[in-house]
Amino acid sequence: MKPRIAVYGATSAIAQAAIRLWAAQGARLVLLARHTQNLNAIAADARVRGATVKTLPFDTAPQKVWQTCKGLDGLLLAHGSLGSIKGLTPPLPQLAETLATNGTSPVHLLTQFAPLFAKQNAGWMAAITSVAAVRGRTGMYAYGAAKAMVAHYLQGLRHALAQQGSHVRIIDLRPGPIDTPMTRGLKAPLMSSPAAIAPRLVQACASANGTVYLPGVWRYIMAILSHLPETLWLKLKI
Amino acid sequence: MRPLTSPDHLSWGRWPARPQQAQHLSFTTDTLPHGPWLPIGNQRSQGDVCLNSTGTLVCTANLNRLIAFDAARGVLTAEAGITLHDILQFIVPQGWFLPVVPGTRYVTLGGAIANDVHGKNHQTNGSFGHHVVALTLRRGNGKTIAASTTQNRDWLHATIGGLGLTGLITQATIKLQRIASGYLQVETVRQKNFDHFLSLSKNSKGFEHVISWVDSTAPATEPGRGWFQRARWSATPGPLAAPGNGPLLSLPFVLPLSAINRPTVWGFNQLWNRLPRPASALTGYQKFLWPLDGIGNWNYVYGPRGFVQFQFVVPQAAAATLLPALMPVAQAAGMSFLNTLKLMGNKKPAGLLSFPRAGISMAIDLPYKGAQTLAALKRMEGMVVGAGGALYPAKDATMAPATFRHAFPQWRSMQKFIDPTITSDFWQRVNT
Repeated sequence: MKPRIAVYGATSAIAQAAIRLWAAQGARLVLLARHTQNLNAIAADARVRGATVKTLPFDTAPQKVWQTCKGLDGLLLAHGSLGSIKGLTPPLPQLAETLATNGTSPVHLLTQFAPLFAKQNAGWMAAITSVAAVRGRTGMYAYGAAKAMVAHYLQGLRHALAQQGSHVRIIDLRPGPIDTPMTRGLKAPLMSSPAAIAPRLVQACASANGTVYLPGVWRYIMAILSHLPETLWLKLKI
Repeated sequence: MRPLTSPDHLSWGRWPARPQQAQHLSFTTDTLPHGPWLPIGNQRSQGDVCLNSTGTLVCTANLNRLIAFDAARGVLTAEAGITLHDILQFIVPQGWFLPVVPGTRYVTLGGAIANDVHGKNHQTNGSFGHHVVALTLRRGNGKTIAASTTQNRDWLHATIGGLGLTGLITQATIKLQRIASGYLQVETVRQKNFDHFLSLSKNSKGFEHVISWVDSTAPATEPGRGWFQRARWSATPGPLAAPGNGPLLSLPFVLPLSAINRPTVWGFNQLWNRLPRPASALTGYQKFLWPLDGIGNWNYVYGPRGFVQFQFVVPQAAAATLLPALMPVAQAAGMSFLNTLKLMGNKKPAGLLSFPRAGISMAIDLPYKGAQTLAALKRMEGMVVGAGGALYPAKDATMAPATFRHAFPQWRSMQKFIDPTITSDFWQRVNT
């Protein structure tokens, strides 16, 4: 069976790289994004590579997204924005937007899709969070807090579904710094690229049920960083 | 879409090293910078054709999407920032190949068009531009121009070999070539001298790919000594493997000193000359077409000062006297290994400013050593001009404006196609 996968934020660089791999598998894709023209460019690429593609506006009702292929095998939430929050007192509307785009929006979508997947008792839901969700640090803690909310929600959802004996898998895709338009100009160690992490992402969606770091080395780095005593962490310039 | 200043935006030879302002496009509709800009691909050209020190480079690497593919007729449309490597990944398993490839597959489609690149099959297939059937330009004033072999042909001709000056190529359509297998039957012959090269070239009619590797340590009595190779695609159906992902090994950083010097060049040529070579062998296309793509960042071996390439084409009649005179100058300037010599085809050039043309073409790598290198380049330029030849803009950082205008007489008709918001270091240099 060709997998049926819906992707929110299909114009994001990481989503694009994953879409290419799914397209080569002949997937049936439902792609959603705010910028229609850019979305069409991605849809055309996926079609040439072998996918069947339907594009929808970003705010299409989840029920309708679900019906497009008469059910879904997978859902990837890839939308997000680093925002431009700087300093201790960002304008509140800016803060609200960062929290909504990266936090509330994916949580709302997960909530609306969860019963559909649960009823089907098959498939997977994945959201791209971030290593920034693991421990709050200067510079991007609003973004990090929103991603942490999603990570926590995914964890709870996974637990709830498991308690019901459901076969639905919930995947927290947690990238380290990736060279994308979102992070452009950012200097970070161990920068990876969308094309380099996409195979692991696609593999995780096909079989994992839990948290997957992209690339995998970040699991160990974050394990160390999250266990540093707070007094030491506060002195760390990262 | 934040602009960033980066010392990493150098041309492949890493000389001239001038700081560049760069901006990346994610989609063909993204905002273009204000002020003089220059669209660039994967920066595999040498010299200053891909530099814009007084403005902004517009990087197209993310404009790498496929748009349409006719698998029956072999016609592909893609965004222009896609690399030839990425195109091959998609088309080779389906039995198609690019009709023209340069010495590296890591150039972009847009770059291949803008420099009208050629390969080892120029004598049969012409240059890259001969296979472009349509393209779309985005101009600085917001207008788009669709050009093809049937519509706005003059814009197509100006953009092929147009050095990126006619606008941002947002997409292009190219005709592909059928292959039955990813293997070529390659014949290798010891080439005694230049005359031998010429007779071998002329006696290789049935071969699509013809190239010769010149030994840079050959004595003055044997100019043009080296290895002559000719190949044709295997007609027997065989494996159609996509090119491997990434090089086998890669230089992690620029070497602190150039590793290219007299002893290493001598040693390499000794090895290269003594390597046992089968007279005829079935060879995978990657190994034959891009021997250097197997090593990532091979340009780093030249150290922090980088290297220059001197590539020219001269009329065949003039070559026999030019080469013996030019070789010693190149050798004295530290001529590196893997220099190529090729008898070009007679096809009418595809673009207004196309470099590939009838004659003998030669490419020589030189480590950059400051004034002495510049002096050698000037001397060789004079010899090539005297022989009625042309230097390759995609490899050049030093030719005089008069040299350019003489070898590219259409530069005047080019003016009306140039986007007034676009410029490059090369274009400013040859227009002063």
